[in-house]
Amino acid sequence: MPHTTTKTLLIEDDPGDHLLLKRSLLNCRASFSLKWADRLASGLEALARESFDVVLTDLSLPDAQGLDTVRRIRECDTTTPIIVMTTIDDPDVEAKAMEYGAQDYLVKGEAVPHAIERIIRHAIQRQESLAQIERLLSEVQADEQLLAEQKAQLELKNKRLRKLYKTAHRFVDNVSHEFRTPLAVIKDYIALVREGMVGEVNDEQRRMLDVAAVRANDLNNMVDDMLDVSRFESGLLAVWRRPCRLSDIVGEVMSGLVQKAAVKQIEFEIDTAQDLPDVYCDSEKVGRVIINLVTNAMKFCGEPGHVRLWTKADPVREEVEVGITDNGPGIEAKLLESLFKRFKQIRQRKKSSTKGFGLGLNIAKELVALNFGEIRVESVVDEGSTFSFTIPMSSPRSVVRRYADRVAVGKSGARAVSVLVASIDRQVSESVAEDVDAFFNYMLRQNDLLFRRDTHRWAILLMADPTDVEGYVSRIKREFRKTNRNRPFGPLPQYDIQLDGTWDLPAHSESLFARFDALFVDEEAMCTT
Amino acid sequence: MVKDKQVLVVDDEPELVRGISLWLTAAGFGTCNAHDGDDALAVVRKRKPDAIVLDVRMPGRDGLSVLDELQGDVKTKHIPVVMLSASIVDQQRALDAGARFFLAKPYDGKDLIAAITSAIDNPSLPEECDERAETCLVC
Repeated sequence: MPHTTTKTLLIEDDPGDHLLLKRSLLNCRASFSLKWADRLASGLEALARESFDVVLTDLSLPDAQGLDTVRRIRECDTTTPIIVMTTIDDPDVEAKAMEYGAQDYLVKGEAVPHAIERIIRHAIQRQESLAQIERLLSEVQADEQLLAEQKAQLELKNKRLRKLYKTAHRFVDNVSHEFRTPLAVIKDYIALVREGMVGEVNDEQRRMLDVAAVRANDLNNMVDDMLDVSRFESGLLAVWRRPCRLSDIVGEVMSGLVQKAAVKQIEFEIDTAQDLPDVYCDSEKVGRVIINLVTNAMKFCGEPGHVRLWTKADPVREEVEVGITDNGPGIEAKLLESLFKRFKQIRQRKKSSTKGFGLGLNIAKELVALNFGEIRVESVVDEGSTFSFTIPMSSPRSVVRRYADRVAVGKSGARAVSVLVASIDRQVSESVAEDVDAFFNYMLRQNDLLFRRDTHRWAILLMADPTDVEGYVSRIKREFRKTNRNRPFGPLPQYDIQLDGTWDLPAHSESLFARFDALFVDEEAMCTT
Repeated sequence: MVKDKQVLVVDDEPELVRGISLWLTAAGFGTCNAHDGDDALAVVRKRKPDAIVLDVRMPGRDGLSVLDELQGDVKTKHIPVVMLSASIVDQQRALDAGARFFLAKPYDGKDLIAAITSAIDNPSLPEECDERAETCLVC
């Protein structure tokens, strides 16, 4: 501003005051040009004709009085800074002038040149700041509107997604319903014929019916697979982890696989160690992983086909490894990574009718993770592939450590973990205690664990703080009623359940481990406390 | 005694009606059948069965609507109903509507007999759990 001329308009009916101001401005260091109007009307005309950097106005003019003067100037011109010239030094006038849109005021005759200069400069700066604030404000308002529009769009998208999600769920439900209805007929008729209810059955017929029943179960499992995909997503997968013998699990799924191998003329070698320690897992899930991997190996093995199922105990890592090795074409290293993704079936060189859903390996990976294990694949092109997975040994202390590790690497950071101890009357029969075990297990959410301290006592590890625990306990209560409601074999016996403690992971992991060790190792000490 | 008990089997799949009837007959029950909801209500009024095996999803009048109708009539509300569905989603709806038991398809013939036998022996729901006998939470 010091280098440019400040264009000033003075609206003042007193020629003496005009002269005084003119003199003062001449004595300023900065350069001013002064235009004089002796009426408000002529002042407004000048404002309309040309632009000024600042307007100085008297408050008592022949055609305007008081603060109305400021208001009328502002109506005509919204941007030029206004300075009110007054004869009285009255803070009330000052405040009012500001309110009507003036930037400042000066008392006639009192202001020396450099003070006038400063007032004018500040008035211009203030007006510029004001203009900038208004610009910013309108930008913010524009942004706000944009945000509101985006919010509306997101809400719409959200609504569509929710609808799509619901439709997808209904679709999966309908498809599984359509699959299960004919399956119900098939399974029922097989069972009726097998039981001799519609005439005598010879041994060979019975054997064939058994195979048919197994295959119908396979089909039912495939429907489960499809359903599981959506259940994984909702985190509602029912897992029944408990101590199991691996040889039992292998035994249960073996007949179907041996049959399959015979039909396909594949040499199927079962090479499981005899003295394996018990594992802690959901046996049905492990069985399905084995079926999955063996079926996969039989699909892609060489000719003549050779598939070997083997097991290996690792006492240091406290886990058992189950492996399935085939003599197939092998998988290129770059394809190995995507192998466990959903709906991925690697283009195989072999021509075959072996089409699956492409869900098998993805499901297998999820099922292994549910059992705190890991799945691996090693492959040599033209030699074959080995798929293997691990299952933790049945040691509550070891399992709880794996659990804590998993919590530690989880996205959610620190978590509260509570331990509940539950029991039923010692007089309850073991078969009913099994049903109670199944019930407690049914109550677990995906991140909870159930351990059986003995046939009639349990420890439940919950990812929950004491408030959540309260909700959980009342949910058990409700579900207990519901379960008893649908039990043709009579109600389950009343249970007792108590909160044993809550620990923050990972900070207090060690203390949790110690408590767990006490619960399972130091039984007597536990009873006396 | 199940010998003189009559069970109505309702399903829109005739093969399943036949299968279920075979299990029931082998267990000593008498059976009659219906293939849709309206048919079922007519048979219930004429034959007055001791229990009903009722499919949930049927074209036209579905099983839940049949159950509603039965529950709303003093002459039929005492008849225990075991509901079946190929979708587990239907379980809660069926039990809430007043089904004595729910079985998922594919069902096991032996479970079906157990459910029907228990339903005839104890046709009404057991009383709600005694509040005082409930769980205690000690911190």
